[in-house]
Amino acid sequence: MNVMNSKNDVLLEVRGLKKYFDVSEGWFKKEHKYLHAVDNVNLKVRQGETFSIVGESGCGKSTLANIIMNLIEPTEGQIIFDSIDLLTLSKDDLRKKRADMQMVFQNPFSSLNPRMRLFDIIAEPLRTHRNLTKAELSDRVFELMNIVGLDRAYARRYPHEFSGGQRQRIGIARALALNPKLIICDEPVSALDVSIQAQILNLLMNLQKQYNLTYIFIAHGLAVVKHISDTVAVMYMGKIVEKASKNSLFSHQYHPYTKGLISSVPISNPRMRNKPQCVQLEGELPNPVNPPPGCRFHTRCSFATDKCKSEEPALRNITAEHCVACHFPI
Amino acid sequence: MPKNESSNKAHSAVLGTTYEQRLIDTFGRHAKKLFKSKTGIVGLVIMVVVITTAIFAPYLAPHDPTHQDYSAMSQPPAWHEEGTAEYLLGTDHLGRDLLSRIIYGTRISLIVGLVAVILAGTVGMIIGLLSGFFGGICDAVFMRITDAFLAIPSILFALVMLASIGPGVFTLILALGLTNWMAYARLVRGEVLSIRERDFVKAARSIGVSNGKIIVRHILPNVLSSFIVVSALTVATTIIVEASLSFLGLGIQPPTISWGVMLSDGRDYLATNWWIATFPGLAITITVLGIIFIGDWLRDLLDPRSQGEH
Amino acid sequence: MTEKNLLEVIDLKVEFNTDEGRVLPVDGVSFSLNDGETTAIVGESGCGKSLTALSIMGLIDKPGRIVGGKILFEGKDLLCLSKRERHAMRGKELAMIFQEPMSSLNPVFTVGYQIAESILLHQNVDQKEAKKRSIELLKRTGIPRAEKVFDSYPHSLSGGMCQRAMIAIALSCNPKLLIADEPTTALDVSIQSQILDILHSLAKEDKKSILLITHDFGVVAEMADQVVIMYAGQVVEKSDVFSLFDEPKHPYTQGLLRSTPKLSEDVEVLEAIEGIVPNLHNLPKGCYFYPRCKKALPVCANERPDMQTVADGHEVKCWLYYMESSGERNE
Repeated sequence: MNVMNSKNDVLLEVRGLKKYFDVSEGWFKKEHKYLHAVDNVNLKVRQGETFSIVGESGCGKSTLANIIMNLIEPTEGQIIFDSIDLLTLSKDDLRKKRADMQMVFQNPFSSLNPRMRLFDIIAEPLRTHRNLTKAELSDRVFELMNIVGLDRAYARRYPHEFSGGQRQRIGIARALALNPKLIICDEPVSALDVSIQAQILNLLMNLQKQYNLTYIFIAHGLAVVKHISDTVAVMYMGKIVEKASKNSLFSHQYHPYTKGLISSVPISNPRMRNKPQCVQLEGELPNPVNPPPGCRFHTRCSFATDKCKSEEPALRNITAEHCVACHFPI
Repeated sequence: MPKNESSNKAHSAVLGTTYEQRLIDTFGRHAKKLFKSKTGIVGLVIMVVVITTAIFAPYLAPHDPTHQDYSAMSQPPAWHEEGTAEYLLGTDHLGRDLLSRIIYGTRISLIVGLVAVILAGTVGMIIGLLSGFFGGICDAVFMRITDAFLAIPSILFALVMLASIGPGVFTLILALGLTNWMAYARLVRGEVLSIRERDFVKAARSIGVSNGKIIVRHILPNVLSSFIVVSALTVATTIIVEASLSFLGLGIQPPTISWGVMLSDGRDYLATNWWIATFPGLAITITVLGIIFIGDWLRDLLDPRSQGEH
Repeated sequence: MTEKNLLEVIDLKVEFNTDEGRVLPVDGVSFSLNDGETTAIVGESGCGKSLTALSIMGLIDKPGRIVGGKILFEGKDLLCLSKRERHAMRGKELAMIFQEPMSSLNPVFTVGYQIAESILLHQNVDQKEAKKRSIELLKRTGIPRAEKVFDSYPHSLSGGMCQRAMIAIALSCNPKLLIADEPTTALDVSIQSQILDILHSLAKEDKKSILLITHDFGVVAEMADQVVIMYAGQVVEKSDVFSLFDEPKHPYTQGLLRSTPKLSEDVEVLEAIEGIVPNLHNLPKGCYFYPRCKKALPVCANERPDMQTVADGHEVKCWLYYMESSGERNE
């Protein structure tokens, strides 16, 4: 078992995490090809904060979330949760430890079993981990429904009878059932309508205050991330390129990718529409199977030099709470 | 506005519901669905008649099906000019009442069809669930076995089994069961593969639910609807295969009565006494049609989207 | 209005026949689109915005059907045309871009074939010329190495590339009106801004008329000249884009704008619109937004408001503005 020597209030630490998917083709694999989904990621999530991971599709943020949840086995690395290295645990111990980590999913339509009633969906974690009497169980389920704002009259309904927002509430109630320490929210609002998004975000933020929850928030919507986070990490092609406290990151971006990402968000003000963007992200993601050497962003970076093409930049601190992986931070 | 009144009524109906009301509601919805589908009603009526006949055969049959009336051999049906009201559908070459024999035959045909499908379905379901859920080596082994079984012509396999163990109801069920499970295994495996990737399975795994419970609670109920639909259709084909095997003399052995045996009996008299083979044939056709209609209706009914809005 | 109306939709009604009865997912929608302008229809899922677009294209399928209203395109009522005439107009006069670029392209043909096909169908040119024009179109949408992409199959292209190819197909016959149904929703932010740039240059440089369907006010602010807000099948507010963002009138519009987190400002708690979109089978008796409205008046519960003009070119369907504008109320 690993004993952490860092500060006590770190709830989750990820060290040197890698996940390579073998994508070699054919039966007789002449050369092995690997998709570098997550490549040497280190991060620390403090108790009670919202740690957001942002990036475009294919950057590895969802894979990272699934690895932390132990749904995918990493190729290499350590996940230290609550001072315990999860990857060294036996299957049974891991199953018990899972009670402290829960997940809220992106798609409220596929994350609930269409053949289970609302009551059973919320009760499932309790039935799995706690030995409750029937009365205790239904008390807890109704309490949870109340917490997330669902009428208890709905308990016997099936998921298809609910709207997207209500289903997301069901998913949140299920995640809360065991009083977890950490909840991983994988794009919890991006499939919802605008007017419902705010309801769910407010709910998540209230719950955090009430129960001292820690969130890992996976998202691509930067405005949402800015609203909810304390710390933000930006991922590009499996690597963290910039990591900082929210205020520091949104007031100044050192990495050209982060800058481009933020300036490409449409501004909700028609009078600002023709404002020239300082950094426009040109082109698209390179093939992740053969990532470009050096800095992975150099193919799309307008500031790239020869050094960027050959030497990979390490994540280094610019200020105490802001680090960036770029040779020439702007 | 009348439209508003009705919508308000519907609104309060949804809000103030007790469990019982909802149960009646759900039941009512299903019943409504059934009555909307004409083929569904026809299928249901046919099956109710067929199953009642099978259960109450001794009370329904006008004669002893094995009793031979030598004074009325090969008598045509009642509406024929030589027919009598005593034997409504006529008699066979040994003077046995065709109607009574068909009524008794219902029992064997249904039992063989149902039990063989339950056997095939169970084997196929288990293999499909395991190989779909666990994947890897388990999947590879099970699927190669399935392929091997698929490569053997099923009638031939049944013939070999019947010939080696000896014919009889039990052998027939076993043979039909063992030649039918592969389709289920493939179907279930395919469904499991797609359901396994859905987020609710991931959610269950992240809660720490054991694999066994995930299969039983999350995967199985979602596979069940297509499984039941296919099963209904397989009952139909199984009844036909039973009839063909019995027709070939390898299935049910006299004096046990099945529709296949009756067909086989009538084969020699097709030119002269057409009714001996025709009526059991009709019984098979109508039953199979009924089952197929029900299967179609089940397909609509079990679609989760059909149970309420969206 | 001084400019010519290219498209005018008057009191459009689309009916859906479902198991639980008939509903009107598009219930009396009216708006107009001036030549060379971009009109955005904004609303949440199920508000009828996509059905409105499909009605204009003539692509409403069973169980839906248009039961009332007019769609005037250059003064002609599209709903009076024969099937054949409408078919001939599609692609040539009206073209549409869909939300899911990957599934809008046929996977078994090359991208180039699909663009050239549309050119050959509507224009009198030979194969060679069609290919030349297709490659020009691909370049016009900002695709690098257009010749190579011409021979690629959709699965080998990214979502952004497919959306560019879709735009190229839509532009192939130089349509007068381009309908874009959530063209950037399925794309990443950086790709979204690239696609918006293309649409923007089409609108501004080529003076193309665009009907933009979206739920994202950021996209509206970037693109639109006129905005139509829809809720539960009805238009609740119509305005030019500046007036809408400066002074949204309808409580729903105000709620939507406030409940969206923005990069440019910080708020402690988002002002969410409580409740959910009403079920079309079960609409409120009065104003459809009444159950969720924070500013509701007693009258809102029982009577439906009409469209009121509150400022030049700014109309809203809300009781709050009834008194001041008309001075009297018909009881």
